[in-house]
Amino acid sequence: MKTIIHLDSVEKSFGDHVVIPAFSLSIQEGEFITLLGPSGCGKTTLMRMISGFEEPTSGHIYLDGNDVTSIPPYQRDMNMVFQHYALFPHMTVADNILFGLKMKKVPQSEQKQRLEEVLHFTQLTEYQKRKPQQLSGGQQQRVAIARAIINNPRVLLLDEPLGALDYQLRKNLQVELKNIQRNLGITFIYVTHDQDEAMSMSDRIAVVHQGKIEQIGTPEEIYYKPSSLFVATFIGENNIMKINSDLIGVRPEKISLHKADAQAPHHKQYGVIEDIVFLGNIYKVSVRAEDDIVITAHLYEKSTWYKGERVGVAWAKEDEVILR
Amino acid sequence: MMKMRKHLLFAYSMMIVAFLYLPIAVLILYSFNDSRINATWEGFTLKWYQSLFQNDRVLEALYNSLTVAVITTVVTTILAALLALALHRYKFRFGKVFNGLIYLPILIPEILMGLSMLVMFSQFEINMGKTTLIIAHITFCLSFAIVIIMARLSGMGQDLEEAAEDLGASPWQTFRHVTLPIISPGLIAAALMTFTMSLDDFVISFFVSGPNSTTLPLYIYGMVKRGVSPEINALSTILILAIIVMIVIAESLAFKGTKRSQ
Repeated sequence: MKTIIHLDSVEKSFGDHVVIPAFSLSIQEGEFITLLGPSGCGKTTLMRMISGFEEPTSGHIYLDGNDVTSIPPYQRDMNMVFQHYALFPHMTVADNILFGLKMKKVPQSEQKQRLEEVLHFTQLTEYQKRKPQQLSGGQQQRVAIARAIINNPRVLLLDEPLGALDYQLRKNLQVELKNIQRNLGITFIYVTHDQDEAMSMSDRIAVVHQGKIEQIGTPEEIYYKPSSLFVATFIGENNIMKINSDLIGVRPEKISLHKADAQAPHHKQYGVIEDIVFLGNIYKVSVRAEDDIVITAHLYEKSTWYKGERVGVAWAKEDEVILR
Repeated sequence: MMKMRKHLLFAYSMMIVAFLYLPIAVLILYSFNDSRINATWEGFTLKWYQSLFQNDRVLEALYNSLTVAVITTVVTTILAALLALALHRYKFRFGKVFNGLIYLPILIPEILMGLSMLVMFSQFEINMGKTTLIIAHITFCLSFAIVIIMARLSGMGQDLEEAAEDLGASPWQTFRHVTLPIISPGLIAAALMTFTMSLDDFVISFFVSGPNSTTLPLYIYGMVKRGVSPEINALSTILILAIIVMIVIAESLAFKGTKRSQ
Protein backbone atom coordinates (compact mmCIF):
# COMPACT_ATOMS: atom_id res chain seq x y z
CA MET A 1 0.00 0.00 0.00
CA LYS A 2 1.27 3.37 -1.01
CA THR A 3 0.38 6.73 0.54
CA ILE A 4 -1.39 8.93 -2.02
CA ILE A 5 -2.29 11.88 0.18
CA HIS A 6 -0.39 12.96 3.23
CA LEU A 7 -1.50 15.83 5.44
CA ASP A 8 1.36 17.00 7.61
CA SER A 9 0.30 19.00 10.71
CA VAL A 10 -2.28 20.91 8.73
CA GLU A 11 -4.04 23.70 10.56
CA LYS A 12 -6.76 26.13 9.52
CA SER A 13 -7.92 29.26 11.26
CA PHE A 14 -10.09 32.15 10.15
CA GLY A 15 -8.75 35.21 11.92
CA ASP A 16 -8.22 34.24 15.57
CA HIS A 17 -10.70 31.41 15.34
CA VAL A 18 -9.03 28.01 14.95
CA VAL A 19 -11.39 25.88 12.87
CA ILE A 20 -9.10 22.89 12.48
CA PRO A 21 -6.30 22.38 15.01
CA ALA A 22 -3.09 20.91 13.61
CA PHE A 23 -3.37 17.27 12.61
CA SER A 24 -1.74 14.73 10.32
CA LEU A 25 -3.34 12.04 8.19
CA SER A 26 -2.17 9.58 5.57
CA ILE A 27 -4.54 8.23 2.95
CA GLN A 28 -3.62 5.04 1.07
CA GLU A 29 -3.88 4.63 -2.68
CA GLY A 30 -7.16 3.00 -3.71
CA GLU A 31 -8.87 3.19 -0.35
CA PHE A 32 -12.33 4.46 0.41
CA ILE A 33 -11.98 6.79 3.36
CA THR A 34 -14.88 8.67 4.92
CA LEU A 35 -14.77 11.85 6.95
CA LEU A 36 -17.75 11.43 9.25
CA GLY A 37 -19.05 14.05 11.63
CA PRO A 38 -22.02 16.21 12.54
CA SER A 39 -22.63 19.29 10.39
CA GLY A 40 -20.31 22.16 11.24
CA CYS A 41 -17.57 19.85 12.54
CA GLY A 42 -15.03 21.05 9.99
CA LYS A 43 -15.12 18.11 7.60
CA THR A 44 -16.02 20.30 4.62
CA THR A 45 -13.18 22.73 5.38
CA LEU A 46 -10.87 19.73 5.57
CA MET A 47 -12.00 18.56 2.15
CA ARG A 48 -11.71 22.04 0.67
CA MET A 49 -8.09 22.16 1.82
CA ILE A 50 -7.34 18.85 0.14
CA SER A 51 -9.01 20.00 -3.11
CA GLY A 52 -7.26 23.38 -2.98
CA PHE A 53 -10.16 25.79 -2.45
CA GLU A 54 -8.82 26.71 0.97
CA GLU A 55 -5.18 27.07 1.84
CA PRO A 56 -4.14 25.74 5.26
CA THR A 57 -2.90 28.37 7.71
CA SER A 58 0.09 26.16 8.40
CA GLY A 59 1.29 22.67 7.52
CA HIS A 60 1.70 20.86 4.21
CA ILE A 61 -0.38 18.70 1.92
CA TYR A 62 1.34 16.10 -0.26
CA LEU A 63 -0.21 14.41 -3.27
CA ASP A 64 1.80 11.36 -4.29
CA GLY A 65 4.88 12.77 -2.56
CA ASN A 66 4.67 16.24 -4.11
CA ASP A 67 3.90 19.27 -1.99
CA VAL A 68 0.64 20.72 -3.37
CA THR A 69 -0.14 23.02 -0.43
CA SER A 70 -0.30 26.18 -2.53
CA ILE A 71 -1.09 24.67 -5.94
CA PRO A 72 -4.48 25.97 -7.22
CA PRO A 73 -7.34 23.46 -7.67
CA TYR A 74 -7.10 23.47 -11.46
CA GLN A 75 -3.57 22.12 -11.34
CA ARG A 76 -4.25 19.32 -8.84
CA ASP A 77 -4.70 15.82 -10.14
CA MET A 78 -7.92 15.21 -8.24
CA ASN A 79 -11.58 15.93 -8.80
CA MET A 80 -14.52 16.71 -6.64
CA VAL A 81 -18.21 15.80 -6.69
CA PHE A 82 -20.07 18.74 -5.21
CA GLN A 83 -22.90 18.52 -2.72
CA HIS A 84 -25.44 20.02 -5.12
CA TYR A 85 -23.63 18.60 -8.17
CA ALA A 86 -22.82 22.07 -9.60
CA LEU A 87 -23.61 20.95 -13.14
CA PHE A 88 -23.28 23.68 -15.77
CA PRO A 89 -26.89 24.59 -16.61
CA HIS A 90 -26.04 25.98 -20.06
CA MET A 91 -24.36 22.80 -21.31
CA THR A 92 -25.70 19.40 -22.31
CA VAL A 93 -24.84 16.31 -20.31
CA ALA A 94 -22.13 15.40 -22.84
CA ASP A 95 -20.59 18.90 -22.71
CA ASN A 96 -20.67 18.85 -18.92
CA ILE A 97 -18.81 15.55 -18.86
CA LEU A 98 -16.30 16.66 -21.52
CA PHE A 99 -15.54 19.96 -19.76
CA GLY A 100 -12.38 18.77 -18.01
CA LEU A 101 -10.90 17.17 -21.15
CA LYS A 102 -11.68 20.27 -23.24
CA MET A 103 -9.98 22.55 -20.71
CA LYS A 104 -6.89 20.35 -20.83
CA LYS A 105 -7.03 20.31 -24.65
CA VAL A 106 -7.12 16.53 -24.95
CA PRO A 107 -7.29 15.47 -28.67
CA GLN A 108 -10.84 15.22 -30.12
CA SER A 109 -10.65 11.51 -30.90
CA GLU A 110 -9.61 10.67 -27.35
CA GLN A 111 -12.34 12.94 -25.94
CA LYS A 112 -14.94 11.06 -27.97
CA GLN A 113 -13.70 7.66 -26.94
CA ARG A 114 -13.50 8.48 -23.23
CA LEU A 115 -16.92 10.12 -23.32
CA GLU A 116 -18.44 6.95 -24.73
CA GLU A 117 -16.76 4.80 -22.11
CA VAL A 118 -17.88 6.98 -19.23
CA LEU A 119 -21.43 7.37 -20.56
CA HIS A 120 -21.70 3.63 -20.86
CA PHE A 121 -20.20 3.09 -17.43
CA THR A 122 -22.62 5.49 -15.74
CA GLN A 123 -25.59 4.42 -17.91
CA LEU A 124 -26.11 7.93 -19.23
CA THR A 125 -25.70 7.27 -22.98
CA GLU A 126 -29.34 8.01 -23.81
CA TYR A 127 -29.35 11.28 -21.82
CA GLN A 128 -26.20 12.83 -23.32
CA LYS A 129 -28.05 15.46 -25.38
CA ARG A 130 -30.20 16.66 -22.46
CA LYS A 131 -29.65 19.67 -20.25
CA PRO A 132 -29.11 19.02 -16.51
CA GLN A 133 -32.51 20.56 -15.60
CA GLN A 134 -34.20 17.80 -17.60
CA LEU A 135 -32.72 15.03 -15.44
CA SER A 136 -33.83 13.52 -12.15
CA GLY A 137 -31.75 13.95 -9.00
CA GLY A 138 -30.17 10.51 -9.33
CA GLN A 139 -29.28 11.13 -12.97
CA GLN A 140 -27.76 14.50 -12.15
CA GLN A 141 -25.70 12.78 -9.49
CA ARG A 142 -24.40 10.31 -12.07
CA VAL A 143 -23.49 13.16 -14.44
CA ALA A 144 -21.52 14.81 -11.62
CA ILE A 145 -19.62 11.56 -11.05
CA ALA A 146 -19.07 10.98 -14.78
CA ARG A 147 -17.78 14.54 -15.17
CA ALA A 148 -15.20 13.87 -12.47
CA ILE A 149 -14.03 10.34 -13.34
CA ILE A 150 -13.57 11.01 -17.08
CA ASN A 151 -10.42 12.90 -16.07
CA ASN A 152 -8.92 9.74 -14.53
CA PRO A 153 -8.11 11.56 -11.30
CA ARG A 154 -5.81 9.99 -8.71
CA VAL A 155 -8.24 10.97 -5.99
CA LEU A 156 -11.96 11.66 -6.05
CA LEU A 157 -13.42 13.88 -3.35
CA LEU A 158 -17.13 13.56 -2.65
CA ASP A 159 -18.87 16.16 -0.49
CA GLU A 160 -22.14 14.70 0.83
CA PRO A 161 -22.93 13.55 -2.70
CA LEU A 162 -26.15 11.74 -1.75
CA GLY A 163 -27.43 14.32 0.74
CA ALA A 164 -30.13 15.73 -1.52
CA LEU A 165 -31.64 12.40 -2.58
CA ASP A 166 -34.41 10.36 -1.01
CA TYR A 167 -33.81 7.24 1.06
CA GLN A 168 -34.30 4.47 -1.51
CA LEU A 169 -32.26 6.20 -4.22
CA ARG A 170 -29.53 6.89 -1.69
CA LYS A 171 -29.31 3.20 -0.83
CA ASN A 172 -29.01 2.23 -4.50
CA LEU A 173 -26.41 4.88 -5.26
CA GLN A 174 -24.34 3.84 -2.24
CA VAL A 175 -23.91 0.43 -3.83
CA GLU A 176 -23.23 2.01 -7.24
CA LEU A 177 -20.59 4.36 -5.84
CA LYS A 178 -18.84 1.55 -4.02
CA ASN A 179 -18.77 -0.47 -7.25
CA ILE A 180 -17.37 2.47 -9.22
CA GLN A 181 -14.63 2.87 -6.64
CA ARG A 182 -13.75 -0.84 -6.68
CA ASN A 183 -13.75 -1.08 -10.48
CA LEU A 184 -11.69 2.05 -11.11
CA GLY A 185 -9.37 1.68 -8.14
CA ILE A 186 -9.52 5.43 -7.51
CA THR A 187 -8.97 6.71 -3.98
CA PHE A 188 -12.28 8.05 -2.65
CA ILE A 189 -12.40 10.68 0.07
CA TYR A 190 -16.01 10.83 1.10
CA VAL A 191 -17.61 13.42 3.38
CA THR A 192 -20.89 12.65 5.11
CA HIS A 193 -22.82 13.12 8.33
CA ASP A 194 -24.75 9.89 7.74
CA GLN A 195 -23.18 7.07 9.77
CA ASP A 196 -25.01 4.27 7.93
CA GLU A 197 -23.56 5.56 4.69
CA ALA A 198 -20.08 5.72 6.22
CA MET A 199 -20.40 2.24 7.73
CA SER A 200 -21.61 0.51 4.60
CA MET A 201 -19.14 2.00 2.11
CA SER A 202 -15.85 2.84 3.80
CA ASP A 203 -12.58 0.97 4.17
CA ARG A 204 -11.70 3.44 6.89
CA ILE A 205 -13.69 6.09 8.72
CA ALA A 206 -12.27 9.23 10.28
CA VAL A 207 -14.68 10.59 12.88
CA VAL A 208 -14.36 14.38 12.95
CA HIS A 209 -15.52 16.45 15.91
CA GLN A 210 -14.88 20.17 16.41
CA GLY A 211 -12.22 20.16 13.70
CA LYS A 212 -10.32 17.26 15.27
CA ILE A 213 -10.10 13.69 14.05
CA GLU A 214 -11.38 11.81 17.12
CA GLN A 215 -10.68 8.37 15.79
CA ILE A 216 -9.68 6.74 12.55
CA GLY A 217 -10.17 3.08 11.78
CA THR A 218 -12.22 0.42 10.02
CA PRO A 219 -16.01 0.53 10.54
CA GLU A 220 -15.71 -2.41 12.99
CA GLU A 221 -13.02 -0.67 15.03
CA ILE A 222 -15.04 2.53 15.18
CA TYR A 223 -18.15 0.66 16.26
CA TYR A 224 -16.76 -1.86 18.70
CA LYS A 225 -13.72 -0.02 20.02
CA PRO A 226 -14.63 3.66 20.20
CA SER A 227 -11.72 5.55 21.65
CA SER A 228 -13.65 8.50 23.04
CA LEU A 229 -17.01 9.35 24.54
CA PHE A 230 -17.94 11.32 21.43
CA VAL A 231 -17.29 8.42 19.06
CA ALA A 232 -19.09 6.00 21.39
CA THR A 233 -22.26 8.11 21.41
CA PHE A 234 -22.13 9.49 17.85
CA ILE A 235 -21.85 6.11 16.14
CA GLY A 236 -24.87 3.91 16.78
CA GLU A 237 -26.62 3.71 20.12
CA ASN A 238 -24.70 3.17 23.29
CA ASN A 239 -25.22 2.88 27.03
CA ILE A 240 -22.72 5.03 28.88
CA MET A 241 -22.31 4.07 32.53
CA LYS A 242 -20.02 5.03 35.34
CA ILE A 243 -18.65 1.97 37.11
CA ASN A 244 -16.32 2.80 39.99
CA SER A 245 -14.14 5.51 38.47
CA ASP A 246 -14.37 4.15 34.92
CA LEU A 247 -16.72 5.41 32.23
CA ILE A 248 -17.82 2.45 30.18
CA GLY A 249 -19.93 1.94 27.07
CA VAL A 250 -22.02 -1.15 26.26
CA ARG A 251 -23.99 -1.53 23.02
CA PRO A 252 -27.75 -2.12 23.53
CA GLU A 253 -27.60 -5.38 21.56
CA LYS A 254 -25.05 -6.73 24.06
CA ILE A 255 -27.37 -6.18 27.04
CA SER A 256 -29.52 -9.00 28.35
CA LEU A 257 -32.41 -8.85 30.81
CA HIS A 258 -33.07 -11.34 33.62
CA LYS A 259 -35.75 -11.90 36.21
CA ALA A 260 -34.82 -9.85 39.26
CA ASP A 261 -34.87 -12.88 41.53
CA ALA A 262 -32.90 -15.12 39.20
CA GLN A 263 -29.68 -16.32 40.80
CA ALA A 264 -27.40 -15.01 38.09
CA PRO A 265 -23.95 -14.06 39.36
CA HIS A 266 -23.39 -11.51 36.61
CA HIS A 267 -26.24 -9.05 37.17
CA LYS A 268 -24.46 -5.75 36.86
CA GLN A 269 -27.44 -3.52 37.60
CA TYR A 270 -31.02 -3.69 38.76
CA GLY A 271 -33.78 -1.48 37.40
CA VAL A 272 -37.42 -1.06 36.42
CA ILE A 273 -38.65 -1.41 32.83
CA GLU A 274 -39.85 2.00 31.77
CA ASP A 275 -40.80 1.45 28.15
CA ILE A 276 -40.92 -1.21 25.46
CA VAL A 277 -40.95 -0.03 21.84
CA PHE A 278 -41.36 -2.27 18.80
CA LEU A 279 -39.04 -1.16 15.98
CA GLY A 280 -39.72 -3.86 13.42
CA ASN A 281 -36.60 -5.96 13.65
CA ILE A 282 -36.11 -5.50 17.40
CA TYR A 283 -37.75 -4.49 20.62
CA LYS A 284 -36.16 -1.53 22.32
CA VAL A 285 -36.49 -1.87 26.10
CA SER A 286 -35.62 1.04 28.39
CA VAL A 287 -34.71 0.22 31.97
CA ARG A 288 -34.32 2.87 34.64
CA ALA A 289 -31.43 1.65 36.77
CA GLU A 290 -30.31 2.55 40.27
CA ASP A 291 -28.28 5.71 39.65
CA ASP A 292 -31.26 7.09 37.72
CA ILE A 293 -29.60 6.28 34.41
CA VAL A 294 -31.58 4.70 31.58
CA ILE A 295 -30.12 1.55 30.07
CA THR A 296 -31.37 0.53 26.65
CA ALA A 297 -31.48 -3.10 25.54
CA HIS A 298 -32.24 -4.34 22.02
CA LEU A 299 -34.04 -7.69 22.19
CA TYR A 300 -35.16 -9.93 19.35
CA GLU A 301 -38.00 -11.42 21.42
CA LYS A 302 -40.46 -9.52 23.53
CA SER A 303 -40.70 -12.49 25.86
CA THR A 304 -42.80 -11.80 28.97
CA TRP A 305 -41.29 -8.46 29.93
CA TYR A 306 -43.79 -5.85 30.93
CA LYS A 307 -43.69 -2.19 31.87
CA GLY A 308 -42.92 -1.57 35.53
CA GLU A 309 -41.27 -4.96 36.03
CA ARG A 310 -38.15 -5.05 38.17
CA VAL A 311 -35.32 -6.74 36.26
CA GLY A 312 -31.64 -7.52 36.38
CA VAL A 313 -29.52 -6.03 33.60
CA ALA A 314 -26.41 -7.91 32.50
CA TRP A 315 -23.65 -7.90 29.91
CA ALA A 316 -20.44 -9.76 29.33
CA LYS A 317 -17.20 -8.26 30.56
CA GLU A 318 -15.68 -8.37 27.06
CA ASP A 319 -18.50 -6.21 25.67
CA GLU A 320 -17.53 -3.31 27.92
CA VAL A 321 -15.55 -0.52 26.30
CA ILE A 322 -13.64 1.60 28.77
CA LEU A 323 -13.81 5.23 27.65
CA ARG A 324 -11.92 6.82 30.51
CA MET B 1 -72.12 37.81 -3.62
CA MET B 2 -68.73 36.35 -4.54
CA LYS B 3 -69.42 37.00 -8.20
CA MET B 4 -70.38 40.59 -7.46
CA ARG B 5 -67.13 41.12 -5.56
CA LYS B 6 -65.13 39.64 -8.42
CA HIS B 7 -66.76 42.00 -10.91
CA LEU B 8 -66.11 45.01 -8.71
CA LEU B 9 -62.49 44.03 -8.34
CA PHE B 10 -62.16 43.68 -12.09
CA ALA B 11 -63.72 47.09 -12.71
CA TYR B 12 -61.40 48.62 -10.13
CA SER B 13 -58.33 47.04 -11.79
CA MET B 14 -59.45 48.37 -15.14
CA MET B 15 -59.80 51.85 -13.71
CA ILE B 16 -56.27 51.75 -12.38
CA VAL B 17 -54.96 50.61 -15.76
CA ALA B 18 -56.94 53.40 -17.46
CA PHE B 19 -55.54 55.91 -15.00
CA LEU B 20 -52.01 54.75 -15.81
CA TYR B 21 -52.31 54.48 -19.57
CA LEU B 22 -55.01 56.93 -20.68
CA PRO B 23 -52.68 59.94 -21.02
CA ILE B 24 -50.26 57.89 -23.10
CA ALA B 25 -53.07 56.46 -25.19
CA VAL B 26 -54.41 59.94 -25.90
CA LEU B 27 -50.92 61.12 -26.80
CA ILE B 28 -50.46 58.25 -29.23
CA LEU B 29 -53.95 58.65 -30.69
CA TYR B 30 -53.48 62.35 -31.45
CA SER B 31 -50.17 61.69 -33.20
CA PHE B 32 -52.40 60.33 -35.99
CA ASN B 33 -54.89 63.21 -35.86
CA ASP B 34 -55.30 65.25 -39.04
CA SER B 35 -55.51 68.58 -37.24
CA ARG B 36 -53.03 71.13 -35.90
CA ILE B 37 -55.11 71.64 -32.79
CA ASN B 38 -55.05 68.74 -30.45
CA ALA B 39 -58.57 69.17 -29.10
CA THR B 40 -60.67 67.64 -31.86
CA TRP B 41 -60.37 64.48 -33.94
CA GLU B 42 -60.33 65.23 -37.67
CA GLY B 43 -59.31 61.90 -39.19
CA PHE B 44 -56.32 59.59 -39.58
CA THR B 45 -53.00 60.80 -40.98
CA LEU B 46 -49.31 59.96 -40.95
CA LYS B 47 -48.20 63.45 -42.00
CA TRP B 48 -46.80 64.36 -38.58
CA TYR B 49 -44.46 61.42 -38.78
CA GLN B 50 -43.40 62.52 -42.27
CA SER B 51 -42.73 66.09 -41.26
CA LEU B 52 -40.87 64.82 -38.20
CA PHE B 53 -38.38 62.92 -40.33
CA GLN B 54 -37.85 65.93 -42.61
CA ASN B 55 -37.02 68.12 -39.64
CA ASP B 56 -33.22 68.47 -39.37
CA ARG B 57 -33.32 69.54 -35.75
CA VAL B 58 -35.32 66.47 -34.74
CA LEU B 59 -32.90 64.23 -36.60
CA GLU B 60 -29.97 65.92 -34.91
CA ALA B 61 -31.55 65.43 -31.49
CA LEU B 62 -32.21 61.78 -32.35
CA TYR B 63 -28.58 61.38 -33.45
CA ASN B 64 -27.36 62.98 -30.20
CA SER B 65 -29.61 60.81 -28.08
CA LEU B 66 -28.49 57.62 -29.81
CA THR B 67 -24.77 58.48 -29.63
CA VAL B 68 -24.98 59.28 -25.94
CA ALA B 69 -27.08 56.21 -25.22
CA VAL B 70 -24.81 53.81 -27.12
CA ILE B 71 -21.58 55.05 -25.52
CA THR B 72 -23.20 55.18 -22.08
CA THR B 73 -24.48 51.64 -22.49
CA VAL B 74 -21.16 50.13 -23.54
CA VAL B 75 -19.11 51.88 -20.84
CA THR B 76 -21.67 51.34 -18.07
CA THR B 77 -22.16 47.64 -18.78
CA ILE B 78 -18.42 46.94 -18.76
CA LEU B 79 -17.76 48.95 -15.60
CA ALA B 80 -20.77 47.44 -13.81
CA ALA B 81 -19.81 43.88 -14.81
CA LEU B 82 -16.27 44.31 -13.50
CA LEU B 83 -17.45 45.75 -10.20
CA ALA B 84 -20.18 43.13 -9.74
CA LEU B 85 -17.66 40.34 -10.40
CA ALA B 86 -15.23 41.79 -7.89
CA LEU B 87 -17.94 42.14 -5.22
CA HIS B 88 -19.13 38.60 -5.94
CA ARG B 89 -15.68 37.04 -5.78
CA TYR B 90 -14.03 38.86 -2.90
CA LYS B 91 -15.49 39.50 0.50
CA PHE B 92 -13.77 42.51 1.96
CA ARG B 93 -14.13 44.72 5.00
CA PHE B 94 -16.95 47.25 4.85
CA GLY B 95 -18.53 45.16 2.08
CA LYS B 96 -22.01 45.93 3.43
CA VAL B 97 -21.35 49.68 3.60
CA PHE B 98 -20.00 49.50 0.07
CA ASN B 99 -23.11 47.72 -1.16
CA GLY B 100 -25.24 50.42 0.47
CA LEU B 101 -23.24 53.12 -1.27
CA ILE B 102 -23.95 51.43 -4.59
CA TYR B 103 -27.70 51.31 -3.98
CA LEU B 104 -27.95 54.88 -2.71
CA PRO B 105 -27.81 56.75 -6.05
CA ILE B 106 -30.99 54.92 -7.10
CA LEU B 107 -32.79 56.75 -4.31
CA ILE B 108 -31.19 60.18 -4.66
CA PRO B 109 -33.56 62.64 -6.40
CA GLU B 110 -32.53 63.16 -10.00
CA ILE B 111 -32.67 66.88 -9.65
CA LEU B 112 -30.01 66.77 -6.93
CA MET B 113 -27.88 64.49 -9.03
CA GLY B 114 -28.18 66.85 -12.01
CA LEU B 115 -27.45 69.89 -9.92
CA SER B 116 -24.43 68.33 -8.20
CA MET B 117 -22.98 67.33 -11.53
CA LEU B 118 -23.52 70.78 -12.96
CA VAL B 119 -21.65 72.20 -9.96
CA MET B 120 -18.86 69.65 -10.31
CA PHE B 121 -18.36 70.21 -14.04
CA SER B 122 -18.24 73.97 -13.62
CA GLN B 123 -15.81 73.59 -10.69
CA PHE B 124 -13.44 71.76 -13.00
CA GLU B 125 -14.27 74.21 -15.79
CA ILE B 126 -15.42 71.56 -18.19
CA ASN B 127 -17.60 72.86 -21.02
CA MET B 128 -21.05 71.33 -21.21
CA GLY B 129 -21.56 69.08 -24.19
CA LYS B 130 -21.77 65.45 -25.19
CA THR B 131 -18.87 64.46 -22.94
CA THR B 132 -20.46 65.84 -19.78
CA LEU B 133 -23.77 64.33 -20.85
CA ILE B 134 -22.20 60.89 -21.26
CA ILE B 135 -20.34 61.09 -17.94
CA ALA B 136 -23.55 62.09 -16.16
CA HIS B 137 -25.54 59.30 -17.80
CA ILE B 138 -22.93 56.69 -16.88
CA THR B 139 -23.05 57.93 -13.29
CA PHE B 140 -26.76 57.50 -12.81
CA CYS B 141 -27.04 54.25 -14.81
CA LEU B 142 -24.16 52.50 -13.06
CA SER B 143 -26.06 51.63 -9.87
CA PHE B 144 -28.95 50.05 -11.75
CA ALA B 145 -26.62 48.02 -13.96
CA ILE B 146 -24.60 46.75 -10.99
CA VAL B 147 -27.74 45.70 -9.12
CA ILE B 148 -29.04 43.75 -12.12
CA ILE B 149 -25.73 41.96 -12.74
CA MET B 150 -25.20 41.23 -9.02
CA ALA B 151 -28.62 39.57 -8.82
CA ARG B 152 -27.64 37.30 -11.68
CA LEU B 153 -24.30 36.45 -10.09
CA SER B 154 -25.73 35.63 -6.69
CA GLY B 155 -28.29 33.39 -8.42
CA MET B 156 -25.36 31.52 -9.94
CA GLY B 157 -23.66 30.95 -6.57
CA GLN B 158 -20.04 29.99 -6.21
CA ASP B 159 -19.95 26.27 -6.79
CA LEU B 160 -20.26 26.41 -10.59
CA GLU B 161 -17.05 28.41 -10.81
CA GLU B 162 -15.42 26.14 -8.27
CA ALA B 163 -16.54 23.08 -10.23
CA ALA B 164 -14.97 24.51 -13.38
CA GLU B 165 -11.74 25.23 -11.55
CA ASP B 166 -11.76 21.76 -10.05
CA LEU B 167 -12.07 20.27 -13.55
CA GLY B 168 -8.90 22.01 -14.65
CA ALA B 169 -10.14 25.34 -16.01
CA SER B 170 -7.80 28.26 -15.39
CA PRO B 171 -9.40 31.44 -14.00
CA TRP B 172 -9.70 32.85 -17.52
CA GLN B 173 -11.19 29.62 -18.92
CA THR B 174 -13.65 29.55 -16.01
CA PHE B 175 -14.76 33.09 -16.82
CA ARG B 176 -14.95 32.43 -20.56
CA HIS B 177 -16.81 29.09 -20.46
CA VAL B 178 -18.88 29.27 -17.28
CA THR B 179 -19.27 32.71 -15.69
CA LEU B 180 -19.80 34.74 -18.86
CA PRO B 181 -22.39 32.46 -20.53
CA ILE B 182 -24.36 32.22 -17.30
CA ILE B 183 -24.43 35.94 -16.52
CA SER B 184 -24.83 37.10 -20.14
CA PRO B 185 -28.64 37.48 -19.87
CA GLY B 186 -27.95 39.76 -16.90
CA LEU B 187 -25.42 41.74 -18.93
CA ILE B 188 -27.87 42.18 -21.81
CA ALA B 189 -30.63 43.17 -19.41
CA ALA B 190 -28.36 45.72 -17.76
CA ALA B 191 -27.33 47.09 -21.16
CA LEU B 192 -30.92 47.47 -22.35
CA MET B 193 -31.96 49.09 -19.08
CA THR B 194 -29.05 51.52 -19.34
CA PHE B 195 -29.85 52.33 -22.96
CA THR B 196 -33.47 52.99 -22.08
CA MET B 197 -32.67 55.20 -19.11
CA SER B 198 -30.14 57.20 -21.09
CA LEU B 199 -32.52 57.68 -24.01
CA ASP B 200 -35.30 58.63 -21.62
CA ASP B 201 -33.52 60.99 -19.25
CA PHE B 202 -34.57 64.60 -19.04
CA VAL B 203 -33.82 66.04 -15.61
CA ILE B 204 -30.11 65.28 -15.39
CA SER B 205 -29.53 65.97 -19.10
CA PHE B 206 -31.18 69.35 -18.65
CA PHE B 207 -28.40 70.41 -16.26
CA VAL B 208 -25.36 69.04 -18.04
CA SER B 209 -26.05 69.36 -21.78
CA GLY B 210 -24.54 72.07 -23.89
CA PRO B 211 -25.74 73.99 -26.97
CA ASN B 212 -24.78 71.23 -29.42
CA SER B 213 -25.92 68.27 -27.39
CA THR B 214 -29.70 68.58 -27.34
CA THR B 215 -31.21 65.12 -26.85
CA LEU B 216 -34.71 64.05 -27.83
CA PRO B 217 -36.33 64.61 -24.41
CA LEU B 218 -34.73 68.07 -24.25
CA TYR B 219 -35.93 68.83 -27.76
CA ILE B 220 -39.47 67.74 -26.91
CA TYR B 221 -39.40 70.02 -23.89
CA GLY B 222 -38.24 72.87 -26.11
CA MET B 223 -41.06 72.20 -28.59
CA VAL B 224 -43.69 72.20 -25.84
CA LYS B 225 -42.59 75.66 -24.77
CA ARG B 226 -43.61 76.86 -28.22
CA GLY B 227 -46.99 75.13 -27.97
CA VAL B 228 -47.92 71.48 -28.25
CA SER B 229 -47.89 70.32 -31.84
CA PRO B 230 -48.89 66.87 -33.15
CA GLU B 231 -45.25 66.40 -34.14
CA ILE B 232 -44.42 66.14 -30.45
CA ASN B 233 -47.05 63.45 -30.16
CA ALA B 234 -45.48 61.58 -33.04
CA LEU B 235 -41.99 61.91 -31.63
CA SER B 236 -43.14 60.85 -28.16
CA THR B 237 -44.97 57.86 -29.61
CA ILE B 238 -41.82 56.63 -31.29
CA LEU B 239 -39.83 57.11 -28.09
CA ILE B 240 -42.44 55.29 -25.98
CA LEU B 241 -42.59 52.33 -28.35
CA ALA B 242 -38.80 52.00 -28.48
CA ILE B 243 -38.61 52.08 -24.69
CA ILE B 244 -41.44 49.58 -24.18
CA VAL B 245 -39.78 47.11 -26.53
CA MET B 246 -36.44 47.41 -24.76
CA ILE B 247 -37.89 47.11 -21.27
CA VAL B 248 -39.83 44.00 -22.20
CA ILE B 249 -36.67 42.39 -23.58
CA ALA B 250 -34.62 43.49 -20.55
CA GLU B 251 -37.15 42.14 -18.06
CA SER B 252 -37.53 38.80 -19.79
CA LEU B 253 -33.76 38.34 -19.97
CA ALA B 254 -33.06 39.42 -16.41
CA PHE B 255 -35.03 36.54 -14.97
CA LYS B 256 -34.55 33.99 -17.73
CA GLY B 257 -33.20 30.70 -16.45
CA THR B 258 -32.32 32.10 -13.03
CA LYS B 259 -33.87 29.09 -11.34
CA ARG B 260 -31.09 26.58 -10.96
CA SER B 261 -31.61 22.91 -11.36
CA GLN B 262 -31.64 21.01 -8.13
